[in-house]
Amino acid sequence: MRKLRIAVLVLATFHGFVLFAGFVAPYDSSAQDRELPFAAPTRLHVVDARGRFHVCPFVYGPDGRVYPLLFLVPGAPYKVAGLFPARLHLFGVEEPGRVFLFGTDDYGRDQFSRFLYGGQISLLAGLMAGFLSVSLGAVIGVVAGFYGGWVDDVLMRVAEFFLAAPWLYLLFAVRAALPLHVAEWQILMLLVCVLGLLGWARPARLVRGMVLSAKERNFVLAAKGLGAGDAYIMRRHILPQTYGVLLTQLALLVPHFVLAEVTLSFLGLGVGEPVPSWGSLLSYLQQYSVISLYWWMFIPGLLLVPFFLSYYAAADAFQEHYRPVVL
Amino acid sequence: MNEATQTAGVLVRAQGLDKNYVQRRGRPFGRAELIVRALDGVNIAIPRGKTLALVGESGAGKSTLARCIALFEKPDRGEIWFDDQNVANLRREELFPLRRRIQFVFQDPTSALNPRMTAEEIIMEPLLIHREGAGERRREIALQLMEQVGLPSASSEKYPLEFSGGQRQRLAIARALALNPSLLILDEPVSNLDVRNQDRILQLLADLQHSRSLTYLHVCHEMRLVERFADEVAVMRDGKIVECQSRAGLFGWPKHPYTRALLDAMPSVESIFKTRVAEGIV
Amino acid sequence: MRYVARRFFHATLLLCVISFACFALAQIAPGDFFDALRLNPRISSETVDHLRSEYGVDRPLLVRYGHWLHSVLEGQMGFSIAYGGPVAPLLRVRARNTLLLTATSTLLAWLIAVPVGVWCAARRGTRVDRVVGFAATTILTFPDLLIFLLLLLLAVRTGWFPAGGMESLATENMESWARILDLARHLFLPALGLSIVTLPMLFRHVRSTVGEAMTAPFMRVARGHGIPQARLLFRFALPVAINPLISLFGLSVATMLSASLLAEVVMSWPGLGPLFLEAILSRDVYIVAGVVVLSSVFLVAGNLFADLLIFAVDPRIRVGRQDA
Repeated sequence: MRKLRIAVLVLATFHGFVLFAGFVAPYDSSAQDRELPFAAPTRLHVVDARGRFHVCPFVYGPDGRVYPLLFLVPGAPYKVAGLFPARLHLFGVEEPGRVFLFGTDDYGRDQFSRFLYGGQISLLAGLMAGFLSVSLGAVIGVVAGFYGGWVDDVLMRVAEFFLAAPWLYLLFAVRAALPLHVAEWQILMLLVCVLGLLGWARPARLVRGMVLSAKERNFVLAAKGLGAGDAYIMRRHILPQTYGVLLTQLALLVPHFVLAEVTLSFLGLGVGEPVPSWGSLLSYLQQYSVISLYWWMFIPGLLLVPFFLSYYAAADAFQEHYRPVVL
Repeated sequence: MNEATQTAGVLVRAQGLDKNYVQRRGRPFGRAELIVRALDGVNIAIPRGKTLALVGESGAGKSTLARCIALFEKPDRGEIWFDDQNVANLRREELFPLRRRIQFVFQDPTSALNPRMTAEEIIMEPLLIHREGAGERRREIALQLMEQVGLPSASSEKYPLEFSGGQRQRLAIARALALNPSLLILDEPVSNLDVRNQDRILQLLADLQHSRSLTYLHVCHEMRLVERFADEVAVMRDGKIVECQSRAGLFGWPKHPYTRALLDAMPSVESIFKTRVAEGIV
Repeated sequence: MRYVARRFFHATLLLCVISFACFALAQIAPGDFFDALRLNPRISSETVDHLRSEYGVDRPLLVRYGHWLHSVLEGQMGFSIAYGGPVAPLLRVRARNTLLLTATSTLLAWLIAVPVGVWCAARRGTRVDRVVGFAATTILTFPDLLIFLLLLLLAVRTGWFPAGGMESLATENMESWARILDLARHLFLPALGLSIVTLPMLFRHVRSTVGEAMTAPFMRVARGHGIPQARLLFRFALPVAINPLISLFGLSVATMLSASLLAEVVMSWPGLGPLFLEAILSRDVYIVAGVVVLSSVFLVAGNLFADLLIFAVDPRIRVGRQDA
């Protein structure tokens, strides 16, 4: 249980920060500082050169002066949820001080801010595709399991094909079929659809298994004996038995799809510049100079590990919680 | 054919029922098929307001017959009349109104109740499906039914898990009564319960039959229980009814050798007494 | 034999469907190879149109597909516009490299996973088993991409291994053993990365199948007879576990294909992966089709091989078949 609490905390932090990227990030994702390409992460100090202790952490500006870290400061304008304009940021430092928590890239853009904004794309893609897959899988699984016969056969054959296919290849091939130069939103939507359509097979199979066993249970027969229609039975009696499986699959698929988006963006096939994505942040590492000199460009990749861990822990917890109770 | 009833007093009558099950043998591509004759020319009549016990060994076809009468399955051949209405081959929409009058109680109450529904939701479900009452009225009916079967209405929001085996069966019976059926088909309703609960549930069923003028088709494999509750008894073997008599007639002068064998296998009064002492009832 | 023939037929059918689907997808996609040329103001649109008709890009789908099939049967597999030559020789070289990489990683992964898995299965629940299991789970949580990048970092920082490519520039002048050593040095990191990526799941499967076999009732009987642990393992448990493991091999071909794609691109190994990516970005349709078909061939061949292996190894299936 404690493991789950930590996992939920980590996930809430990630998702929360990403959701409110505009607020949490000190800078806009495309704000450039040509004077500071590939700057290392700004170090926060509490003790200055004269040995004095400052309650508030501070950074050294380009002029050598002390710039304290301020909280709830006005800064670059942004829009909350794309609609409401705002200017308040969680933290920042006065000009010309800079606080680059994760360093900068070759255009001097703050990696921390880009990480948060990029998370919006990567997480959104993962979550939407995850929901799409699980919903599609649930519907197909219930239909296949409930009606059986040739419907079941056909659907499961198709599912087998999707399960057996190498997903990255399929993804590439479909991405190849899509136009390369299209508006970002459209690419994201198309990506989500493709990912969702590729991933329904495993949830569908699992749901079908549960439906097959639920179908034989006497309480379903009792409902039939009352004259209940198929749709009612599927909705009221069979589907609730599958919630555990569906939640577990969701918790496993979301990180998988996030990774898929990250991989595509890394290879240049995802949502393009200037919209950041975790994958495009990592793609700098393909350059020899970057990977050998600028270690902070690794940070987005390293942060993926606790992200994945938390989702897996959540999946484990769901599986435990929804284990069929044997009376 | 049953000797001691007149047609007017018969609620359900079935004639010439046949049902076969096909079992494919062994490997997926094998050609060997086994045909199981679950019902073989079965004739039966259930008198109104009385209890007809259906006895026999396991595999004799008792459950299959019960399910056909309950309209869960269609027989391959034969006719079934319910209150002089031929019901064996009706379509789904036509069967719907009939379903209110015929209800089924399963052997295992645990599997018959959706573990994710509360007690009151379970009892209200028939009312929901047949659009009886509305909202609060349904809840009232459900609570009343709980009281009638001996369950405290305070536990109406509990889940089946939280009830004991005997209580779950009571819950199942309450659900069966929700639409005021005329016929209750009970498939070994007390077989999964301990002796004390068996007594109680049988008593409950008898009380309900009396107060609501219910007709019962009670499938049972234990002859000593049958002696307690049955008005008439039909003995099944290998898909056929070999004997059908009033209770007194069957237990006193069994006609068929198979019936006699069943009765001989019944534990005697002394052994029943010993069992009850052992279980702490006496 | 009928079984084998049937599987071959299905496989060929599948390949035809896949290749056609690939072609159709390419047709739906707006834009083609010459779009990039069109953007260049110095090249007139007549030239572009002329080029398009010369390369047959403006002909209807079925015609192009027909030509392509013909080309496949001739052994040419279409024409690459970017490379200015037939696709087949390109694919041959790249496929060879990919096979080298995937075969090495598969071998490496299985060589580690099977013994460790069996070892842990025999010691279920002990501290060692738990530690190894934990390590496997930890590796699983690292995204493939990250693992490859970290290995790249290792190469760059330590210089023990080259950071990409398949051969050093000086290979022409080396003797054969030096060339092999050079190849091995270049192969090491990509192969290591790929095997790390596939190890954990493999280990888990081995451990669970062997573990199940070890606790089966017939094993308890054998143990009760006093047969020593080692003999129990090899003579009794492993044969039972072989069947699911071979199926696993069949499945792992697909994951290996996907993973190798990424590995080759990140670690600059000149296999099918980078070629595929390039072709997609430049819309070189025949290469794309060729790569998809080729990898489908690998996939189907791998599964077929696994099926046939099971058929040969598992007496239950053989006997069952004969009866039907």
